[in-house]
Amino acid sequence: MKARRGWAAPLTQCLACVAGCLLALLAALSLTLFREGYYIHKLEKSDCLSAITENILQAGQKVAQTAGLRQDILDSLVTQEDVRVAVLRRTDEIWHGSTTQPDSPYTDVVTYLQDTVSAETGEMWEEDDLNLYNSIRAVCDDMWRSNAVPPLANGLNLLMQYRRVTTPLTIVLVAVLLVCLWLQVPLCRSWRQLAGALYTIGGGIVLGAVLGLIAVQLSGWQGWMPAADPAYALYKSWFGGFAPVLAACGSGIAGLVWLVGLLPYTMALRTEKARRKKKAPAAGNQ
Amino acid sequence: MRKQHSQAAASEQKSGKGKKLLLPLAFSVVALAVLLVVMVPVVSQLRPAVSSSGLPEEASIPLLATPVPQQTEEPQQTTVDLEAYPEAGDLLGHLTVSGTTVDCDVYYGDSESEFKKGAGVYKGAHIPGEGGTILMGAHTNTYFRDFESAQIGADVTFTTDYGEYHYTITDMKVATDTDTTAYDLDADRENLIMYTCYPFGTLQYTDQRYFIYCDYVSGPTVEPQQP
Repeated sequence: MKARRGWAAPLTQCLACVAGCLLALLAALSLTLFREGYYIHKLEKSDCLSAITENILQAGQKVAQTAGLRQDILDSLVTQEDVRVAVLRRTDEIWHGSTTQPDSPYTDVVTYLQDTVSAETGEMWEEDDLNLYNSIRAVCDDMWRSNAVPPLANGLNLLMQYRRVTTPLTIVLVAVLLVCLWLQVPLCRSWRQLAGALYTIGGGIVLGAVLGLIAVQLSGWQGWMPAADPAYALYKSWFGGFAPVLAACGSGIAGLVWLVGLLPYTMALRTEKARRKKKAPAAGNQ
Repeated sequence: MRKQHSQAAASEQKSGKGKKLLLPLAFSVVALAVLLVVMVPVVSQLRPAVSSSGLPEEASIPLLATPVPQQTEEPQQTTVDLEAYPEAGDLLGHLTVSGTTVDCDVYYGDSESEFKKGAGVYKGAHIPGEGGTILMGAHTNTYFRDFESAQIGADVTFTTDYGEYHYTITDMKVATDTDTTAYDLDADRENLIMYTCYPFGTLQYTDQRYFIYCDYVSGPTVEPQQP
């Protein structure tokens, strides 16, 4: 493939490949690590919500024990659904910055303890008991806010700052890619050359994305979190989904470029067929 | 003549095929290099951020609000010997604030290199156990993002390799970055001041800072103290 201006064609093709690969990266991030639904899906599929519920129940039992009450007296106040709702709300807070505090299931714990303890012991509660129950409520509310939180909050908060620049960057990269693709038209001499240039760009994008996948897999991300961490399985499935999607997005963008390349390829075939037809009668006359 | 022509055509076809393979490969290597340049700074920040999920194996119960105060023992004031005073960039300990998702490592020093990995303690102030003001900051878009969930009375746990320190949140306020009245570095009692940029989660430059003031509750004193 010869270009009209020596370096211009390969340079614009290279730029198109870089823009395409960066677009694939942004698309992969938007579909995985930057997407709330993806995180929630992985969270709900993991054991983390059960682990959080278990932790909260155990903490409630410790509080009750320390207060001299029946150990499992607070258990009935917390359900896995309460935990799920609270964790999802806090997750939403990370993504959208809402400041709505999740409802604590311990809001009515004072009344609940007054009724339950009185019913169990047959004695009415007194002033000291009320102080104790209020204190239990304060502890449980604080314990609830500390524990009913989405795992990987630090990592998510960090990623959110990059998510904000995704839209302007995408617009710029799409523009660069389209301009570079369009530039192939004046830079190529024939339809066949143009088809070849688009084929090269697509190939560069798909190879770049595959190399990106390999680079991510070789980065050792599996060891960034200790395997003993209770949320390690969630981390592995959450972060592990990114690299394959990067390769898939690269293939998708390359596919689009190749699809565009079908047009000049078809035109090249037609032109060559017409030329052959023209030449054929001339050869017959000889 | 016809033979020569067909040989030239074959060699041109061969070199064309080579170009078709080599050019995309060369471009992909360039693209990969650009991807790495973009991703390496993000990864260097993400790596410490995901080193802990913040999900404890056992739920933490706030120390301060133990329901029956008379049953808890008064924390004993002990003294520990520091082998060496920390230097800039040293890992000082781990911080959690009850009721929030604040759960990060704390480093000595408050430059960008410390803030990338966690919270940083101002070197001109004190470290836990010295009996003075500990001034600690972190970025609002990462480790101190959840300051908005902090409430007065919450328990702040600062775990160092020489002891576990507990503080309780007593006050919070917004001040400008040049307002030196927002903190007292010469206080003669142990206290912890945490700060981050305000509004929370902002990425742009802001001259506002959100301060959280904490009183000392328990933890050993240290020797030797700051040189």
